[in-house]
Amino acid sequence: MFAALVPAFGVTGSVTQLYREHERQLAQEWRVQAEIARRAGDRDGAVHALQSALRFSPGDATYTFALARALLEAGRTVEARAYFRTLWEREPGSGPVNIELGRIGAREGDTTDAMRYYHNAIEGSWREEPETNRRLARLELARYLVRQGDFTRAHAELIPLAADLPENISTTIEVGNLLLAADAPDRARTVFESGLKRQRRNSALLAGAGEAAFQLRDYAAAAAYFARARAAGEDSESGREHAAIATEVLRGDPFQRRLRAAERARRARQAYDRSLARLDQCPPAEAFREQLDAMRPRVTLRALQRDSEIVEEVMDLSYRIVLAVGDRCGPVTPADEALLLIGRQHFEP
Amino acid sequence: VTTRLRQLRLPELPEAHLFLLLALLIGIFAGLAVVCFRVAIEWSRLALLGSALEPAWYRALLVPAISGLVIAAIVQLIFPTARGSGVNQTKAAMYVYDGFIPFRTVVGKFVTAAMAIGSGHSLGPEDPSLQVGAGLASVFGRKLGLSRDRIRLIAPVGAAAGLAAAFNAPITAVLFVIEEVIGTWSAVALGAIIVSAVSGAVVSQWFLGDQPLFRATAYHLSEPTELLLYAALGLIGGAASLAFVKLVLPVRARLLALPTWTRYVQPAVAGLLIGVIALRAPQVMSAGYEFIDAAMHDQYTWSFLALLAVLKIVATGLSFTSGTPGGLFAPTLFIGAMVGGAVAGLGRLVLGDLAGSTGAYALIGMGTLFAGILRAPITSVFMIIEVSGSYSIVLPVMISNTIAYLISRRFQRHSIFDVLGEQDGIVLPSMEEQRESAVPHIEDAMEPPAGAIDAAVTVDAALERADAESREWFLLNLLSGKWVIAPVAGMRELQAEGKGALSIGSAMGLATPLPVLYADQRLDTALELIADHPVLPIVHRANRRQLIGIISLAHILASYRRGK
Repeated sequence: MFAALVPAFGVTGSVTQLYREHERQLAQEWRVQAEIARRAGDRDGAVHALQSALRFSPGDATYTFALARALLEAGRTVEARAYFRTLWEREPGSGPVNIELGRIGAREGDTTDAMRYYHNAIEGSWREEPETNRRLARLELARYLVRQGDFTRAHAELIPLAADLPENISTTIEVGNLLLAADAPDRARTVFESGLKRQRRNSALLAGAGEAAFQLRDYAAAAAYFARARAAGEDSESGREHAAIATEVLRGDPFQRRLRAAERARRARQAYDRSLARLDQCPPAEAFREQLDAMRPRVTLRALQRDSEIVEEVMDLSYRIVLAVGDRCGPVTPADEALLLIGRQHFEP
Repeated sequence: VTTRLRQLRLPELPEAHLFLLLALLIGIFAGLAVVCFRVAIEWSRLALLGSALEPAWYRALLVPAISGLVIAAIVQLIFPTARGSGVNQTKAAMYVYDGFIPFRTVVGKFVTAAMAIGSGHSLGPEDPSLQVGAGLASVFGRKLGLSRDRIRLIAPVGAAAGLAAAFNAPITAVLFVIEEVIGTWSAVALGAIIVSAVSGAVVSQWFLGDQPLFRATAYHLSEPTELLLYAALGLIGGAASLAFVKLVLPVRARLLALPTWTRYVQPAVAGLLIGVIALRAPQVMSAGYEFIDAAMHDQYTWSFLALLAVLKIVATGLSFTSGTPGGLFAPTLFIGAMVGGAVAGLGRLVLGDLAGSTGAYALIGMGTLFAGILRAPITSVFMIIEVSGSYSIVLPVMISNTIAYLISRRFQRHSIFDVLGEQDGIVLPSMEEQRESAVPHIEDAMEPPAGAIDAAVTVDAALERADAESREWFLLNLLSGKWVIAPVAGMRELQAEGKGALSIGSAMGLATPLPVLYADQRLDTALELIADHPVLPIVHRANRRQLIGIISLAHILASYRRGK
């Protein structure tokens, strides 16, 4: 029996070796099939091929990962998560696995899971370009949190990103835009302006800086940035609109410093006329019209030059009329929007 | 080389030691055979069904039927003993054929089961592996000229090795063989069975790796109320077990009653029907471990899992009743995993989020169906613990398995293996009945202590008492704690010799001590020891000088009569 052990081991070893080799070959063939299917847009075919590959190479992390990705692309999230979880249990610190689980959590609106796995990915191990991948993971998480309207947590992700921006200007632009979307225009402006130090004529940076300045009510800077952005080729609708509003604010604000009295009076009169015109466009609001009519004798250029309180009264009434009419009659012109912003800045600081 | 090997011959070993060494070698050889068997299954599956996870429709439809024809011809013409799963055949070898399993059966089982499972018949490789291991052990035992008793024991030793190598779970293999094949905890066999199971599993892992057949998921019980859902799993699992057994047994009996020529086509017809099922659910083909894994990892909806459970019951019923060689072990686990997964999915739908994962329910479902169909309750619990590597799972497993086992017992009196044996014309001992039969004990037959006498009493005094009590003997308690029979006739002789003043202890002290008994011993022990003694003393275990009863042959017989 002892003597028979040697040939028995030899035969079994050869048989299993031969079979293992065949299995490896089949696994590779199915992997290639999966890639062909994926490129042809046949997502189910890719999944099927990878499942077959995995049958011959069970536990292979590369095939498992590829299968999980393919399942995700085919919309089979539950199965994909099961495979990613299996990989995660084997290597909880894997950056690529954690980011995929984070994406699944984000896709399903499960903020706890998304936060947990994205943070694992940020702190996890990456075989290639670890810094870039960690930054991208954080950026993805910030994007998700902004989408969810969770600005406080979004700030916690965006602030470290803003503090360590790469040379790549597109990341700077995205971080700036996310900060804008997360209601942090001051930080956004800093990010855009830091980018402008490297690329002075980058239209997206200029537009972003303009938008940040606009939200910060620095209309002079906003108008200047928007003008430079337009000159650099930026032509977005919101950019044009905000540029026009900023220009109107600069042209129509009677409370600007160092304005001559005549100019202040002209701007107040202009606001009075504008609110009157808005009332004509919209179904009459009798209370406002009576107030305008009562004020009319006092709204002369001379009176407005002489008495700054009349300017205050005119602007207050005009602001309230534009606000009320805007609510009832929908969109307003840039001039009306400017009047609103002037009123908001002055009466609701 | 042969000369050198002869020079290295082992010294003469006692048979018990040789038996252990043989168990080790049997484990290794059985492990090697099972590795080759599993590779053979995979090769035949690749050749017959292709390498895709789910075979092309025409292969799924035709291959089981065509291979069924070929397998039937091989079984009927060359290997008639290769039919069935292998568990009963191993039991028959042990209890009926003095441990004899022909090598031809081993080869036949290997070839036909590999073809059947590889071609998609809904059967598993574990039971055939068990028989292959037992067969190899039997061949080696005979070659080495072991005694008849040892050869009879060697078959289960090989069976454990084969099962351990196939399922990669030595504890499960040991328990299954003890619970289902041997039926008792035999100290002689236990050591050898453990040694062979471990060596079989090690060899299997050496060649095939330690990858489990399916990836068990973590188990966690946070809400004790979830145990109710596991109890529900026990109920549903018990019903599914009954459905399977009630399908298999009558259908098999009817098919066996058909003319012999139909056995050439039964596997083909079964294969064709399985092919039709496979067009909708190819997962039911073969053992299906990869799909158990998929079910455990949330890859199917609960309704599809329920459908798979039903279809697998039908497919396995078809394959098994048609006499196609292959095992019930893997299909049982498959059905259990699907039932467990479906219960988890349904529970989630009705009750909301559950703490237990689908994988945990599927795992417990496997144990539940194992307890319900194969009626090996201890194995079913330890199998899940061994496969999951978690002891905390034991509570829900025990709840679910016990319920399923009791339901199965309530509605199906005899276990599936017992009935299968009867259908094959061999009445094998029922392990279940053996475990549960009420064994009479000495305390059931003994009488109150009578006739005891102290060693210090004189012969004259003892004779006076004998006359008063009309007694022919006394039970004499010596100071050493030994008991002897003091016959009254002998005392009279001593009195006649003028030794009436001597104490009985000094006069009778050289008599042969009686064997003593304890009240908790089995009654047959008393029968073995009583010989020609009029009575035997039953003493207290903590004080052998304290007589708590006596027993005679008449008492023993009276007790057996009462028992009937």
